[in-house]
Amino acid sequence: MFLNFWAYDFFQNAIIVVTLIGILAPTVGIFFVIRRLSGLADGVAHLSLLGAAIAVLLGWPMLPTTIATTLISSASLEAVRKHSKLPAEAILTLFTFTSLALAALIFAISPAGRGSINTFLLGSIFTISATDIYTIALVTVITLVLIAINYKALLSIAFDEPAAIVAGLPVHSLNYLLMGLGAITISVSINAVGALLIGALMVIPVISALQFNKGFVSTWAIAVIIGVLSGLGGILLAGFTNLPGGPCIALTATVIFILVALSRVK
Amino acid sequence: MQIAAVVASHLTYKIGDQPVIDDFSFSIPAGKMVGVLGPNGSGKSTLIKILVGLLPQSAGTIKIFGTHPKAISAGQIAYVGQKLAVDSFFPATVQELLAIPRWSALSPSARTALIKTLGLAGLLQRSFNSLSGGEKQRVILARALIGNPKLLVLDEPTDGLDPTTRREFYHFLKTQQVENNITILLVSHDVHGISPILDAAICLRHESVCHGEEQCLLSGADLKNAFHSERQEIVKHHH
Repeated sequence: MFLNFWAYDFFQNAIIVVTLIGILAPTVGIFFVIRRLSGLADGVAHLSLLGAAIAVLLGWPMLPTTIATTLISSASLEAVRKHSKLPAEAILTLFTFTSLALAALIFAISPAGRGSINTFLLGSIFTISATDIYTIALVTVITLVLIAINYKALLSIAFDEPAAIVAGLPVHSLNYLLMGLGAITISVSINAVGALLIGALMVIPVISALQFNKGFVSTWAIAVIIGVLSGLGGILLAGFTNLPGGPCIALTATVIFILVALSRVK
Repeated sequence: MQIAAVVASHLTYKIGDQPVIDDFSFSIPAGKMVGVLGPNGSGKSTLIKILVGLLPQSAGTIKIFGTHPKAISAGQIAYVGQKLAVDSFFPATVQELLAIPRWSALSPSARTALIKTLGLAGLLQRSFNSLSGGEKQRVILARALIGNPKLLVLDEPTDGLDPTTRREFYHFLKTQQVENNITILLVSHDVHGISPILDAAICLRHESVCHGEEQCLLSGADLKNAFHSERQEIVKHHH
């Protein structure tokens, strides 16, 4: 049966895409998790949904519009969080639900968008185009290079941000780099995995890997392996059961998390 | 004449209308170890955060080695903050935490010597969170020293450590100061512990900044130790 699936282009494309996102999402997500910003991944995903809605309404190209909207909203979110005295997570909630509400309204009033909100919320892994694959591959390579260059600095900031500031690391630039990479990762992934579920692939493989209590590089490598396994397991499940791909991938990641947690119980 | 490590002129810091630090001026010569002493809430941490550029002062100027703190080149100032709260899941080995980019100015041999002196050579592959409190503090100190800083600022670095580990820590700091000519600014409640190693002290009290034996809460031999003969030259105060 698997061989039957493999004969179809859409399935091969799905395999390639989930492998790439399985690498990309935890690579960026690990920094969100160790800085206690896991909720931010979800918040930014909702901002990207607003970008998708704007693209559908105005007939603009999907990916650039989504990336631009996500980057602008993420920068606004960061600026408001920095200058407001209100709790940071409450500001995030404000942005998350406002984006979601706006996106839902835009999808509802846009003739081209009616009924398509589910596609963007839950993803459509088996309708990925070749352009999507090339874009995700390019973003994955660029992200890996940028993280490889900067991971020691990002780790230093996550460990002790005041010390990093005093020592002269470009903390603000690196914070914006991380936000930017998060926004782009989410934007390129929502077609495949969905805005509601990309946060799961950024966070769940990482928290599974953290349970092994290894160093940073080892934890990242384990998270990537789990991310790829979650993606591949999820689309196989989706293929066999004819269920949506995004939820199957997120649930596979959760099952792996539970298995790892059980294996670590002494 | 050697340039002063820190010159603060008319430094003021207010929360709302309330001055926490009020028109405080002082200078610290290079190569000295200076304590910042005072009761809880007297503004010790605030003062050093302003000095290292983590908090903006409400008024006044600061020069570190004759330069604005933000214009100092990377690694020249090192800061060890109060009670670094590292999550128990934080994934990093000691080696990864010591591989600090861009500001690691020590030569490989000096770096190895520092790691050995701090007793970290056998811990490099260990996860940070598997270490004891004293070992963690040594890693944090190594991170601060690995950039070969000219000014090291520490905020309650021995909090939570047992007395023996504290003494070792102070001894190590003194050695670093003398051998590497580092200026050290040390905030501490442990007046008894740090007074023997200090060259001078800045004393802060609630709602005002003061210094000297008359105004400081400290008394007796500890204070005399803390304020030995160089005090007048080192700490000056104007209202």
